[in-house]
Amino acid sequence: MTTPTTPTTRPLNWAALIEAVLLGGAAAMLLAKIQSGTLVYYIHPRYTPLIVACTVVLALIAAARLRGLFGRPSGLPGRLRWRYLLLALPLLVGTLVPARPLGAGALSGAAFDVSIVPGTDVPDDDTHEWNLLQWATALSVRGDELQGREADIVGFVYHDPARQFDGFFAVRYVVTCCTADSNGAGLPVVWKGGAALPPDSWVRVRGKLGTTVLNGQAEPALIAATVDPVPQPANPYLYP
Amino acid sequence: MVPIAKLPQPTWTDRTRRLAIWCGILATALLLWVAGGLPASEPLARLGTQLQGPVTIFLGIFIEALPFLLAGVLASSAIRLFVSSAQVRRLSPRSPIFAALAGSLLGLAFPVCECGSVPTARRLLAKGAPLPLGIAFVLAAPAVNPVVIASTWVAFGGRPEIVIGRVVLTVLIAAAVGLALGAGPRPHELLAPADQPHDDAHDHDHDHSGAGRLRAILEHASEEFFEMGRYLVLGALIAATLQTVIPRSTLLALGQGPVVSAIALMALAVVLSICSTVDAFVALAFASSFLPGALLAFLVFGPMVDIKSVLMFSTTFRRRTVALMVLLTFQMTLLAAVIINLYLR
Repeated sequence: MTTPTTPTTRPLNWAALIEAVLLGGAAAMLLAKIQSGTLVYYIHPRYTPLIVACTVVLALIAAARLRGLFGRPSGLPGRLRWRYLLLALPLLVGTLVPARPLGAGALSGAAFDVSIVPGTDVPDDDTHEWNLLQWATALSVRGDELQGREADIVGFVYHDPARQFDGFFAVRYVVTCCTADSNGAGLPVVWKGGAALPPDSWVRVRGKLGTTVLNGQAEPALIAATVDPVPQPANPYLYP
Repeated sequence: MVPIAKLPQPTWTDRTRRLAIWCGILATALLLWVAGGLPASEPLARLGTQLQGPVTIFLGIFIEALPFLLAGVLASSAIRLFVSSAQVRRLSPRSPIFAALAGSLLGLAFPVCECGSVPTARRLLAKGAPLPLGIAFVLAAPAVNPVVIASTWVAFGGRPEIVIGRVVLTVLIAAAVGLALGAGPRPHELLAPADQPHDDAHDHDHDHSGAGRLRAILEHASEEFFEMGRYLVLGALIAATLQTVIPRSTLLALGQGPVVSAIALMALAVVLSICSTVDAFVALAFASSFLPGALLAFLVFGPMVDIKSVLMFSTTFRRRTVALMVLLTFQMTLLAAVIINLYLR
């Protein structure tokens, strides 16, 4: 009589499987974001090396967890389920919702206020090299001296429902560390027909600094000579 | 009839096992492919536009905190496996006052921020560290550690009083809270039930070769990561929603007075829930428009109490303890900030 060769059977450790898939998935999601250049939509680029290290650690933990796949028998207690559900959330959201930088949709009401944008270094006087953050900083310090100076900036179009005029706001988000601390830095752009530009479209504005009247108040504004559509910059945010 | 408990576990043959592994690999590859942004369907894209703000902020907080959470869970599992209760007890100061002070300063040796300090403190407490030490550590470590002191120095190099004030106030307040809560007669009633002191350094039969140790640390790290990570996710979710509902400018417009300005910046610190390693740069934005006491309140209170850290506290302490920690920290920070605003500027 021959003894039948029984296949080695061991119970599956569901917790190990789910954890390994979630950890590996998180690593994959981060790698994909690094790869596609969309990681900068979420955090300051100086943290990219840290996130690379993170994916390695996540993958290592996932691998260690996979080794326990058929070890200890383990069911899936009901209490454990929601913690897996919660941790699957960033993975699902990060994977399924297309990566987009903060834009006009996230600017609400009087969301951009020069006084809460972090200051930055403003190079001397070459005003057409200044970006929107440098303009905002310089205007808060020495607004009066800048009238008539030349500007050449890139930003996205935003229409403020509370401040309507013949033109649009050109805005860039300023990020210190991650999107949790983002603020908009923007200037009104006086441009005939500018109110019809679609929000969130990126434009390059060339012109001079002047003033315009918003809600009965004279405010510094760019008097545009040209407004050209441009593709979204690879890095949509500005950093102080 | 076979009793239910004796039913055999569902078993898996080698073939199904291989199948499961391939499914896992396939699922991961699929995620990678979808994440590449190729087949973003129309309804999803529209949803993305609507939820763009909260989603991007949520992922921003989560991704930013992830490296620090991982560092914390790795430190915690290393302590769990390789530091014995006897060692912790021998090294901890006997007197509650010294224990609380030691806890406040321990962050200098464990550079973890709020996501890492909770798992580390939890493990130290489980190994029998005195409660004043644990509470003071969990509150102070996110701010009183080399990385955060350096980043505060970079941001406020021109105003050393802010850097020094942050460290001194954090140490004092954390030690005071640790002492007030932890020095009672039955300290372990303050801990969450699952965390009564026990020693599992010897529970496991790990081989202690180099590779075995690494594997053991990683396996425990996974457990801890899922335990803590869900609170990070929940906290990031709440913070992102609150930020969308309450614009920052509303909070900041609230007040410039010596009391209200401090409360406004403390509320902002809670809502922002940013990591302590970088909050100094964020505070820089308010440096010109806010009183120094309010700035210090932001820098001292933020690392101790924010949405995600409070949620994580509840893994370790009872709800009542967490409420007391938040309340005491709030009162002391506010008091210090108001005194600075009124008398020391």
